[in-house]
Amino acid sequence: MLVLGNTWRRSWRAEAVQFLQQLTVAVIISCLSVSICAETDLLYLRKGPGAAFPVVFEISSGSELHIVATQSDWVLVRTGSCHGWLPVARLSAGPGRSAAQVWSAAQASHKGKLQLEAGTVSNGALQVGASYPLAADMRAAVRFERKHNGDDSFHHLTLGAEKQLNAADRIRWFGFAGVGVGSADAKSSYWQDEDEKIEAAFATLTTDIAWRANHALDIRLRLQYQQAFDADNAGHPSAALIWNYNL
Amino acid sequence: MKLLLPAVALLFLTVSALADTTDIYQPEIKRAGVTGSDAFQQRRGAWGFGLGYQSRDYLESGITYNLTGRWFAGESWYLLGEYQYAPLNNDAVNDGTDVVLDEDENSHLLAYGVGYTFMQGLASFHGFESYPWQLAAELYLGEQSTGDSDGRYTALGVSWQVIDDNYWVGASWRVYQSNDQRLSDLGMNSGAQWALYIGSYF
Repeated sequence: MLVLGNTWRRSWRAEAVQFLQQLTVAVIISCLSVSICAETDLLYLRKGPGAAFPVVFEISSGSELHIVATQSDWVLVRTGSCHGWLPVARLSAGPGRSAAQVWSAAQASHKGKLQLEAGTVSNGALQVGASYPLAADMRAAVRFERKHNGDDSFHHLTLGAEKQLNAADRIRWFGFAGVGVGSADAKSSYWQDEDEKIEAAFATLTTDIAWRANHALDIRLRLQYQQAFDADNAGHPSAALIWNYNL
Repeated sequence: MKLLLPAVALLFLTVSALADTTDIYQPEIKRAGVTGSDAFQQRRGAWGFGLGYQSRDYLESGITYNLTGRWFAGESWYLLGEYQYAPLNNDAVNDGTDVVLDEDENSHLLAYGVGYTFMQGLASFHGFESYPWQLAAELYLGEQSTGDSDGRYTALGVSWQVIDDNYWVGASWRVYQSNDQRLSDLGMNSGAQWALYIGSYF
């Protein structure tokens, strides 16, 4: 009975944990969906240029809006007796503002070229990186991955090129190929089974499914495969959750 | 005399009206009728100091000291960076033969993350003044170093922030887990943390 009782208790706990995980995911997805739906209908005018300023007016995206001034990637707009700041990316041509004005404001606030990214990898490592455009849909990228867990530690650096393969609305698809070097501690079985520190060179292929959160931020699911040139444990597939920010 | 007073008043009015409408040549670049403006200070991010508390399995609760930085990436999203220092334990822990956790060990956490604001509103204590607030979901990833061992720190939580003109205050709550093998073996690698923050903008 005791064994049955323990089993039942473990099973109940596992189900409760699973339920809580599913509930958390559902709540987050609902919040994101609601806010995305809301964003398509409403514009939030803020007290100043920046998301740190509070929202002072909430207006419909179809309202008559006059552009008063721009600062960086924010515009000061007037509608009736209301004034407030909007991100340029939220503004489109409509009553009170011409396509030329919107284009002009967007041109004055275009984002920089450098992208920074950070995230977590399924092998227990953390990943950071940066990329810079080489051509219209090609970027040079550097990525650093590190796992630091006592003796089971490794790190490596990858240089390569990233290409946008396809795009549809908010979803984009990227491919990356690169080469790199790294080292693993003696106790780590990442590249070798023997108790000795190892340094290795490798090639990496990755593909990203990127969800465009806004004009500057992507959330990416990254699938990657790393093949070391001379190691006992040469092949390493992994998945990563990455956020990529255009500075 | 009856005519003199209205005439003087009319003269003053005319002079002041002329002064108001006098155009001073102020060259300004305009694109499609829109001016650029540097008169408004843009806020790109925020920083803050936090004092918190953490409760963990099989270990006494303890205080945490946090330094946080936030970079606003659009209207709702922000990127996070945080350093946290926390005393880990008071008494040594041994597994019967060896000491596996020295007394008075400390933990250092360096984490980055992302936050998403999904709700906002106004709060008021007595009705005369109201303060804008926002509620955000936050995800943290980082490395937690504890004595002789390290591990990847993962946390998910919520943060409530009250936004004043020159500073912000916030309260955050999160559940966390570290994959530090030594703490994991002791069952001390997870718990909950909450903190109160105060900070300013840049």
